[in-house]
Amino acid sequence: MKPESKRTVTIEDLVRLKRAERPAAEFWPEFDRQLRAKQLAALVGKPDWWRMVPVWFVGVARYAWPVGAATILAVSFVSMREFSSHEQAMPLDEALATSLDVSPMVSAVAAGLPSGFFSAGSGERKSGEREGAEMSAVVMAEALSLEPAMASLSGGSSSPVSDKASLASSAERSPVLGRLDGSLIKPPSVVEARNSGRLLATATGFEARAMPARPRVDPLQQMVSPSDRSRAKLLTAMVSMSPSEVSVRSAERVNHRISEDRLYDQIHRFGARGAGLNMKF
Amino acid sequence: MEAGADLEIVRRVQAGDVAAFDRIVEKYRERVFGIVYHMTSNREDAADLAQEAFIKAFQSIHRFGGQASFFTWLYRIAVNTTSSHLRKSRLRSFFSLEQIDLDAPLSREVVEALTDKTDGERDAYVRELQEKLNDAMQKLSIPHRTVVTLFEIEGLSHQEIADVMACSIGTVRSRLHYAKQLLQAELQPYLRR
Repeated sequence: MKPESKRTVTIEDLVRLKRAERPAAEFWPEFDRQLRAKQLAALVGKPDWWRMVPVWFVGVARYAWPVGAATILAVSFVSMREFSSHEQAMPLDEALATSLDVSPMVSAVAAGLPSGFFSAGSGERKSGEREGAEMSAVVMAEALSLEPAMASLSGGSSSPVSDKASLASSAERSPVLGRLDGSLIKPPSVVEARNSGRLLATATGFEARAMPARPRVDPLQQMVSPSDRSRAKLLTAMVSMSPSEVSVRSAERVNHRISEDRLYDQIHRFGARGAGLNMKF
Repeated sequence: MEAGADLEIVRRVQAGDVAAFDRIVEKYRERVFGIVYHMTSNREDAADLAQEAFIKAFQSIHRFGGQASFFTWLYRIAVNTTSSHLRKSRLRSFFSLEQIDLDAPLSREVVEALTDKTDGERDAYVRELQEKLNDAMQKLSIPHRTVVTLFEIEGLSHQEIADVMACSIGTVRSRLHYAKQLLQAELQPYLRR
């Protein structure tokens, strides 16, 4: 039982009792010595820069979420853009470019063309404006006749095996492509370069731009039945001609002023059904 | 007048008189140590944090422009350093208490009012009361503990506390009221009405 005369003790009194919690007098010299040592260390050595990084961002701490979200969005956008542009225009490997000598290919193409292909053009230019236009039409016809083969070279199909097959069939039709085939199919690096769609464009002066992405084709859809294959072979044998024949035919067409529609009308008269051959008159 | 003297010393330090900083340390070391100690209830941590606060003040004294009083600026550094330490070491805090000086007038009066035991029993009682008191303080959040420390123990005004803690006077009063309620609930057995 406490005597009634004693004073009341409030929470403030109890808390102020903590003022009496003080270190002894001998504590302070040691405190000063340690502080001086730390002060000298602070004077001599500067803090590492990475320790100061959190201090730089103290001001933007309240905007942490918006800044973080904006940063993530920006990084995602830039990376996606970089990835898509990289996919569209894949750089050609220098080693690949040097390993491929395109000059034989170009000379092979030039050799496969009919004699006087280049010289005739200049000669005709001298003789007159009208005949020059006709010869340019002949040149266009020649280029058109080579276009399917070039298309198969510059990426007509996605798989290397089917490309090789198409090249082989093209080679059967054209001696020019036969020579091209020999120089192109052998090294695998060339196949890679062809798939990128830029090598031939650079070598032959075609437009140097990235080829659009081709849709994938189911291999089963590419298979043809034996009857279709024999029919196609027959039609090919009937329709296709060698480049020299094509040039003769074109020159003949120019000479006789046969329109292109009429020419192809003649071709369409031939047809194959089953194992038989049709001819329309 | 005191603020003017502080500013004079600060200007000398800013001008390159490094030794003048010793006068600042000598003048404020006990108060800075007291603030840190009452917030941490650990004398070793308090010594380290007080020294760290003085080092930070020394390193950034060229940024002190004299708009506020120097001790407010110094106390803010000490409070922020201690708060940062407490947040980092929240799970591994333990007491390391200083001896209560029973010769101080207030402490003797309070202790005599609380107990009429003999000297040996009274020392044990005071020790128990000290632990309960520090335990109750550590149960407060850091802002509430800071307000109680600055107002009840260090004797700063509401305005000065608001300057140190960078908050309004209303916030200081509110925190003080709430902290006292919590302490009263914790220390109910030791109160005498």
